[in-house]
Amino acid sequence: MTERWQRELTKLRQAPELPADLWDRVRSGSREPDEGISRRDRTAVIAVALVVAIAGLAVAWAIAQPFHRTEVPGGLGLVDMPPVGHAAPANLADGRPVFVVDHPDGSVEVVDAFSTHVPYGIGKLIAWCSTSGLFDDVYHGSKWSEDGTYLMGPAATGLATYTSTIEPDGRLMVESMIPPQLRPDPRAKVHPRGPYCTSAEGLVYPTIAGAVSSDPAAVVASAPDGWVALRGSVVAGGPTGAQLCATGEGAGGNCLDGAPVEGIDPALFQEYPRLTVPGAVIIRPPQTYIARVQEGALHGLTRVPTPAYPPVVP
Amino acid sequence: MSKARDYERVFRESAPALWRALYGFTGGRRQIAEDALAEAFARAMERDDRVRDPLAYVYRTAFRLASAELQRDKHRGEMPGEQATREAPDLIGLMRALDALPDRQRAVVILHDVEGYSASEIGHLIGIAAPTVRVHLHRGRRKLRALLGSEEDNDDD
Repeated sequence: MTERWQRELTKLRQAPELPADLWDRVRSGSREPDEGISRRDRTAVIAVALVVAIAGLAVAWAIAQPFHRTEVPGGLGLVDMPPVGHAAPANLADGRPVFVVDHPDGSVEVVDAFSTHVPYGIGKLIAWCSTSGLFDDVYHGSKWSEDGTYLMGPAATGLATYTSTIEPDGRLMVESMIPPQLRPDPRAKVHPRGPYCTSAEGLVYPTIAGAVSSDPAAVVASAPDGWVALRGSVVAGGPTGAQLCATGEGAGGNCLDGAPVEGIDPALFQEYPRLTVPGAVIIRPPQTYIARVQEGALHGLTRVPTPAYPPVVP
Repeated sequence: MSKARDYERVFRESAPALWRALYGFTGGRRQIAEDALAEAFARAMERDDRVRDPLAYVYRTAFRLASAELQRDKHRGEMPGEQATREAPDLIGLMRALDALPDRQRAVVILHDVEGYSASEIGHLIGIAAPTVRVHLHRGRRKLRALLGSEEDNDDD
């Protein structure tokens, strides 16, 4: 029993024969980078091209001067391309961490570095596992393929990706975000399993732009643009709501050196007895987060995995 | 140390399958398929001292070259299967359907369902992880089924 599409596919076996003279073409050598131009001619062509290019660049530079801007016109950021077959972390113009994947087939993908599994409203960045060729949530085990497709684990969706174009200088212009795709049955439990990243050396972590501040209150007060990195403990459940505190524990869930965090529901933590201390819920010892500052509070609080975090092993 | 690899033998044994795969991959754009295959073998031979696995190198390079050339072709607005219409009229429907698949899905479906490679063999040949191959295979098949139909019948193919 075969389906029609399968029968159609087998017709490919009737494709025209391999051209008889192809082996002779192979033996005549590679045509890269250009055939039929002698080495001397090629040098002359390169010299002329260089002069033209330099002149062109000078004119373009002179024209562009009045319009010079630091942000990226028409895009979300310019990022470097990794070597073919590799993935490398990069940051968009607003500091948002992404991964750039240069597939061996020549196509390039920009994949968001944010896990789509956000328990209790606290996000986390993912890591790239070079040994399995997959993206890993090192905290809870979700995995995605190198193009951001959901494979397994508690995440409900694939990863967001970005449209991009290769610039003349070989860098990549990231243009717009493609929201993640919901998996077919987002509520079904798909337990994480292998292939695992079994060595710490195989894990590539996202990069964070700028220095890590250990004073969340000062960061919120200065209201910087884009994603900022902070170090502190999340305290939730006290009278002031969720906060990121520099010193950790605060009486009654309060801390004098904290910054308010939006998007965390303190009530959820009350159902999580292991984390409950009298009057407040302290989530882990201080660790590094990224967030954005809006209207006097931290939004999109996201944990940053570090090489100190052990790889997931079977 | 001379490895003295017998590229002619590698070519004789693997080129027909790679040719068919590239012919399908390029939607019957014969010239692109020929150029990619010949260039990939030629580069492997010239860079033999840096090539660990000639077959994997040839597959990877050939698909990459074909993919890049297809991008240029598509920018020029050329349709698939013009040559296939003349050479193998039966293939035109298949070529149009394959052309609607992203490059990786198309490559994986052809290598798996036409050439009979396993997911891990394909992963090795084109340089991606086996689970990723399975994802592309699943998505590619689903799309082909939607484009070409799924009615079943008993046939002797």
